[in-house]
Amino acid sequence: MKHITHKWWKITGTILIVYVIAGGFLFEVPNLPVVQQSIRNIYFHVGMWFGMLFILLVALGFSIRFLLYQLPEDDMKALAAVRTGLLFGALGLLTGMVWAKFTWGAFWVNDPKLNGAALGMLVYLAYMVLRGSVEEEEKRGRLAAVYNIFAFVLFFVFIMIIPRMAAASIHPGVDGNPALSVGDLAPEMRKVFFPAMAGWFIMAWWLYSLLFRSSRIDHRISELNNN
Amino acid sequence: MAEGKIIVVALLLVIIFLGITAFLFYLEKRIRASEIKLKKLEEEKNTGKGK
Repeated sequence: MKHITHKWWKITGTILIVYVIAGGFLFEVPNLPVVQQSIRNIYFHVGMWFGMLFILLVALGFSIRFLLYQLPEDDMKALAAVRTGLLFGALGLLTGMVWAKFTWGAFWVNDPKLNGAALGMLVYLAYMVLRGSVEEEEKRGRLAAVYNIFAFVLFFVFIMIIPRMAAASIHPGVDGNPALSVGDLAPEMRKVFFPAMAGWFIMAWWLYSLLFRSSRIDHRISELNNN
Repeated sequence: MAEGKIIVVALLLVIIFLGITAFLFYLEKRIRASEIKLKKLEEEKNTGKGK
């Protein structure tokens, strides 16, 4: 797969996020009880979290492809995608904590959805630890790929299944995703929310591609030095 | 008054974000240059010039 190096989609992503920041802070939003003006955080918190899910799905795809074809580039792509996912996940957690402080009175509450998200991030941090513990490149690639598949499934269980089974979460989204359900999101918010989703997806892909290309350069330099 | 302050906050965030984007474009340029340089080195090595 030829890597996309064109500028147009990066400029599009930049324009979208600039629009989201401007629209997110300045456009009208419904004044709901409890959340009030903090509802504007939906463009950042949900956008970054979905950006993370998208890029972790990309990582899963490359790990499966690595197990099928054993190409070192696929392992590098999976690693770059997980790194990006961790960054977006950390940003998603931080924006969520700020939101929680305003609506629930504390940065962190003992909630199955929040704890599941934190555990899910730890599962992906363990992926990085696992990679660091194996020296041999091929063995590391195979182990990491298998673990990455396991990590994605576990992450899904932690953030989607367990909170729904517990049914005691105060976090929205126990019965589906409120931001994506028709009728749940105010029409005036959709003109910022959907560009936000597209913008964060593009930013995640851009960061992933930079990380992958820089690690590919490192790999090629060490190959040149070894030959 | 509050309306004026929120515009300043949004403007500051836009400036910070554009700074991050400018850095990403700079990284992009550096990576592209390294890729081209590396490709030349690999070609030289393959044709035996680099030995």
